[in-house]
Amino acid sequence: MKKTLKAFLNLTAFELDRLSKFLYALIGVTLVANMIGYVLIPLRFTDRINAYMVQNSVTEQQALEVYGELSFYDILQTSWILGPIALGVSALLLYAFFIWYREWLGKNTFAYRLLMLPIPRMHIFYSKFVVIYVSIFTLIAIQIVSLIFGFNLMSALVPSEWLRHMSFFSALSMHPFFYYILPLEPWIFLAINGIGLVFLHVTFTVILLERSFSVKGILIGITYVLITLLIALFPAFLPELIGNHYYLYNSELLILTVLSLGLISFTSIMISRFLLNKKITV
Amino acid sequence: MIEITDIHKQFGRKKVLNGVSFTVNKGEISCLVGVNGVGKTTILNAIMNLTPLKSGKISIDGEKLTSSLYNKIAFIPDAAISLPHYNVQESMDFMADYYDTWNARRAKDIVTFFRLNPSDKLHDLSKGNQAKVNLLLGLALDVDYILMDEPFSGIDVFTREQITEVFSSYLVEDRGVLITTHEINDIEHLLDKVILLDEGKIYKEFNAEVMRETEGKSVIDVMREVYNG
Amino acid sequence: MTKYSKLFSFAFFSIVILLGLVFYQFRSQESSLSLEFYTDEGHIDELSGVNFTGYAFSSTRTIYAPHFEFEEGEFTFRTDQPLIQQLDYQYNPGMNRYVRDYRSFMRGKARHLSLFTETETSIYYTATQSNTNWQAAPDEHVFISHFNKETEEETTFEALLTGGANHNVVATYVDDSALTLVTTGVPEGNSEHSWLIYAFDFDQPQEELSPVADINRLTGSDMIQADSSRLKTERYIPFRSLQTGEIDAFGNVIEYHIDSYYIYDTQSNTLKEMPDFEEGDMVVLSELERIITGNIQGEKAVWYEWAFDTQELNELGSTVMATSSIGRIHDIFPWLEFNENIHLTNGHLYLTEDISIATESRSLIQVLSLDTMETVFSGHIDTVNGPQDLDMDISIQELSFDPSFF
Repeated sequence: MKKTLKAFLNLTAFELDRLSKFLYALIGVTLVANMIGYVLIPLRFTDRINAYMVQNSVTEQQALEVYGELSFYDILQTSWILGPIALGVSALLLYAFFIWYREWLGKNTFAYRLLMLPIPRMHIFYSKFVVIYVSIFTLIAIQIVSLIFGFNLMSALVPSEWLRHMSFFSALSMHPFFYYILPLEPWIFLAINGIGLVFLHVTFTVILLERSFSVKGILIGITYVLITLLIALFPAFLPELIGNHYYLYNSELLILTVLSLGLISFTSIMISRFLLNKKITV
Repeated sequence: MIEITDIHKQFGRKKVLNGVSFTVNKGEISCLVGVNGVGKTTILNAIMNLTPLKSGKISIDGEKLTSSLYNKIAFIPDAAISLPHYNVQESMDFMADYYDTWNARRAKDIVTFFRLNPSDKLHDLSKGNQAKVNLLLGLALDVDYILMDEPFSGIDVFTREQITEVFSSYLVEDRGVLITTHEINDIEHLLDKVILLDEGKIYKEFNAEVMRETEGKSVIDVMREVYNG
Repeated sequence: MTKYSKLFSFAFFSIVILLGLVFYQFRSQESSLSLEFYTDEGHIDELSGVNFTGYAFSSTRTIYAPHFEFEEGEFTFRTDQPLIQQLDYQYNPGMNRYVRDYRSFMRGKARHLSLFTETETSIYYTATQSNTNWQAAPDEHVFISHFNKETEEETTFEALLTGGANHNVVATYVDDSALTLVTTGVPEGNSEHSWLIYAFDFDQPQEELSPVADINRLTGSDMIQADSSRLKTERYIPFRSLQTGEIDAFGNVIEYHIDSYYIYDTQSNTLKEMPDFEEGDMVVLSELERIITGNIQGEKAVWYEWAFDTQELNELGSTVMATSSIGRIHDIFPWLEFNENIHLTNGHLYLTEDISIATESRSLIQVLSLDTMETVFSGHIDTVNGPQDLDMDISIQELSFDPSFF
């Protein structure tokens, strides 16, 4: 294995090791909450149907007309499923900050050690970057496994004639949240992750600006975020600026957007590289 | 040779270093002395590229510091630089993973010398033992230069004696050492060069031994002259 | 366990599961959606030159409202196209054809078929700035472009529409170099919108155009609709006036009735009212120099040609309609245009209607020949699996004609 690659993998494995307990906790919360949802919602539904049938002396069909059939989509909409996802997203967002600040904060100044490693300092940047992405994909993968299990569990708990005919993928595709976070539509998945990638680059750059220039760095960071927002949204406002909504085709606007995001990522990498090599202060 | 040429540094409006130049040679122990806030730690950080300078030049054996040169120079700061939940052995393993210059045999010698227990977690160690671990992680590297920031700070007299022994041992032999300390008495006799800083500049650069022999002054005496006017 | 095992396990697990999901999704796709015409009468070849877009909406299937296009007798799905094409996709087959074939001409031009008129050799585009700049208010300036398909040369003029304000171009009828601009605008000295007609000639372009007719004033009606002609090469333009019907408790009109049909002659700039039928529905269409009117009662329609000059009705014959309501919309609202579901091209009537099969709806198309008075085609669109797919609505949205076929 090439030396620098080995060093990078070492560092990434090391960073992941530091994150793993946190990740296990998120996986645990996701699985437990999901399992409760998969069992609770179908049981409540069947109880309600049965109770209605007994109380009103009506047939199964009549009860279903009142309550409707259960679908996996109904389960997907509950907080038992959406809650852990929201938790995971916000936790990893916070972790994107924590992954850097923990090197400086508290009694330990591990930043000394990291910055004095005989490896390119951008390895530190990308090891943290990769770890965040590995965590995101691990959580998505866990969610997928959980959903497949949940779909089958629901089908086992509820009589098939009480279930609305809706395939697993139909339920997921119809849900705006899962439509965007799961790889159901390759281009959507790519776009979302592309935007995420740029966002993480900018976030890391802002953190490094703060670490390099302190309070002044916060102001520079805010300005940088505003500039990146302007650049990212520029293609969206371009038709307004040129006063013609049909001058550029949507495909051309997309290409411009991709270029803008690429420019933001590239600039963020270059700034981060400069800061890590020349300006960072322990 | 570590060559520091006309370095300037300021924090906000306060000028901390205002044209400092000196060299650190292999086989010599040099010591930066001065009152608190005079810029001693800043110089060490600047040599290690851990803080940016306003201007000036620092080279190590004629080369600008890059990440690969961290295999040539080690810095032992006045702060724990391994993870608190790591034990001593894990800390050494971490170093071995990244540094080509990690010398396991020497590390074992230092562990024995300092009577450290490899399975002890860092967050359970006393300040003195934490300082020893810092020294272990720096001294076990086969590097040409070692920088130490306040190695005696806040530690008991017995540990201090143990650390002082390091300076006359093979662990620093043939290396260029740059140290900052307030506890100058403990190692004064071992110093080849003393660099006295005042108001962002080098006030005096001298050999402690020669100073004692020619003028009968200790390093502390010279400092008193400078700071008490 | 090596120090990399955790990293590789997480990465491997994620890749396997994500790829597994993609594979599982690919395998579990019911059989990708495939549409075809179920022909009741005639042959599908009769739909040559007829293009339309539509959607197949399913509330329970993975395929979620995919838009399809019917062109040259083939169904294609928007989602099957390369990404770039999908992004530039317009929900109108005519617009898609223009964007595909005349991309640079289409740059900067609003993608509304009503603003374009196509002949065998040319494309005309007439629009105001507000058509392309959504922030701009409708004004009096109109941009008129002529595109020569062969030489790919574009000629553009800007003209000022006088005699009114806040213009909106609804259609442009073309006869060689002579253009008839059908606009809505506020005439001078008036506060209500009116249908104003302007004439423009490429051979003698004028910088200022004055209205040649005010349809509302001529009809005495404040609710006028124009024929939604797809070709706009006709000499005569049908208009119709509406009357308000039932009004609810809050004073809102909830029903409209057809009052009268009118024909506007683009050559003489005159308007004439058509005679009504005593019973049944009336439809009025035009093609080139002909004005066709139909009297539909139930599934029987009697077709006439109406002479603009003599105002005589000449019976052409009668046909059987596929349903008693095909080609018409019974809930009338004062939109700008009528005849959305019936078009006359090349002596053929193209009629569409969404029909119900069980609880779902399907689009039905009937093509009638006015020469033979026969149905030359009748059929509906359905999935290849046919009636088993009962959880899906299939509907035609925009129908257009490719003039090169006629």
